[in-house]
Amino acid sequence: MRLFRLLGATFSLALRRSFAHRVNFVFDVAQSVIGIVTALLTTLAVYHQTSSLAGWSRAQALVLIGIFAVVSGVRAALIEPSLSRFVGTIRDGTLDEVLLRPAPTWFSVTCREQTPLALGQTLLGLGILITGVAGLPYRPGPAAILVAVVLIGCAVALSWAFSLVVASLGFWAGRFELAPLTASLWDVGRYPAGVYGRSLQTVLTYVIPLAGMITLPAQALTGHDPVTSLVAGVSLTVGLVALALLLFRRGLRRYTGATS
Amino acid sequence: MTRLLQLFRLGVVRQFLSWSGAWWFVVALAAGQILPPLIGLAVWRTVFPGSAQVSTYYLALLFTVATTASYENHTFSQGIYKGTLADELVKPQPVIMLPLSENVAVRAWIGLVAVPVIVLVGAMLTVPFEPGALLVALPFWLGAGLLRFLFTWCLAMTAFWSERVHAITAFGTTTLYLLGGNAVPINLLPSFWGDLARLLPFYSMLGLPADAAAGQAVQAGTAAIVQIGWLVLLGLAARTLWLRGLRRFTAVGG
Repeated sequence: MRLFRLLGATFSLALRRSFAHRVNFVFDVAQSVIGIVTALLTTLAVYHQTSSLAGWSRAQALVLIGIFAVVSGVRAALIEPSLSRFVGTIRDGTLDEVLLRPAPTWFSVTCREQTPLALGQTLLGLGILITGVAGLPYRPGPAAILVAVVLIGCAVALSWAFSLVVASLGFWAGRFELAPLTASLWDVGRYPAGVYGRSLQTVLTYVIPLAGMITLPAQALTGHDPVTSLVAGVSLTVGLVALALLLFRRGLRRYTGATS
Repeated sequence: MTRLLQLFRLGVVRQFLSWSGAWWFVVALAAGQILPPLIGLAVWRTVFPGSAQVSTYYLALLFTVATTASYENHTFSQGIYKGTLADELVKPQPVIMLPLSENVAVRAWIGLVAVPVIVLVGAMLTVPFEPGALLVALPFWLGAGLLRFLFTWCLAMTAFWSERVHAITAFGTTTLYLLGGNAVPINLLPSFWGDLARLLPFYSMLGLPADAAAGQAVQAGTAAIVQIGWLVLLGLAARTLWLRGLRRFTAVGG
């Protein structure tokens, strides 16, 4: 509960900073939605040529894009701003300041900076998701919706864990600036995992679960067996979050600070 | 002229060596350039299974994207924000030497990382390329490289007026991704949008050289006029932005 209050306080501060300059505010809002608009237009262009992509109809693909946008918004607002700059704080020693805060280090590291306006993507994604669900030939039941909500939560947690793993590598190699790579890899989730071929699909679902984390909740809503998706999603999340925290703690032991 | 060329060559060598210290970052940047076309290739091969045209186009696009990459919003704009651009203003050479030489050096690094990936993908797909088509594509590729640099440099110079150069550049790169032929080959867009896209600068930056190299029907004369037209326009825009922006630049301590 205390962590949620802290998160709320840093979010509120970041939100007030966003409103401080009108021109910056306009650019930030526009930046937050243009990526999703592009993803949507690209998907529509694909379905201009075909009625099915890797077994996914247009409405099902809209559900997928909607979930991608929802998770991308949360990621861009709460996860990326801090973790993409984390390696720099190890290199220049400013991580010291975070270590002194009276909160778990993994939490302080994640909540250093936020861009609340990126949640515009999440709102846009919810609209696309609802449009997609409305276009399905059947209505998902309450169980499928519940599973999808849990799996979207898992996708956010997986995304955080993946970014933390990548950031933690900086403890061993301070020159590893892999944030641009993570951002590019994230885009593989825009499409059904099936487009990547069988072996790559397995890697992107279970090893680097970038496609799986979006495809699994979408599958739960689009008529696939929700139990299988739930088991796969929750197991992946627990595994990757545990790995991320372990790696982070090990890495932190190697950190020597700015003044040592 | 010889002096300028020598300065340019020295600038490229200096920047190339300077970027060698950030080779992991270069790998990440290269991945950022080549992943979107690879995703496009996977998607469009699923739509058109076994289509050699799609594979050839995306392989040519991969090469174009990697070898025309521009990051002036990260390099030149930071000089404006930090005030280090002032150092360049007192050097006895045109200031464009700085972004141009750094651009070429970064492209060389990204090319070094990307070309083996492109060769590997090409070998996996056994993609055919006609030497004649590659010859037609060559001037378009050179024009694309210059056009993409001017486009990104123009966007980067908005740092004279705004603190949000990355948001502004993100608009540019996203539009380039959508209308340049990266997300969707322009030939596969609905005809109205396809015709419109061919007249915009984005197609001349990416899709045109890729289409030409893939041997797809390109109206070379019209395409060249459009590309040269945009080169002149963006060149003039860059000059105007530079002259106006410089008046606002106060440097560190100014």
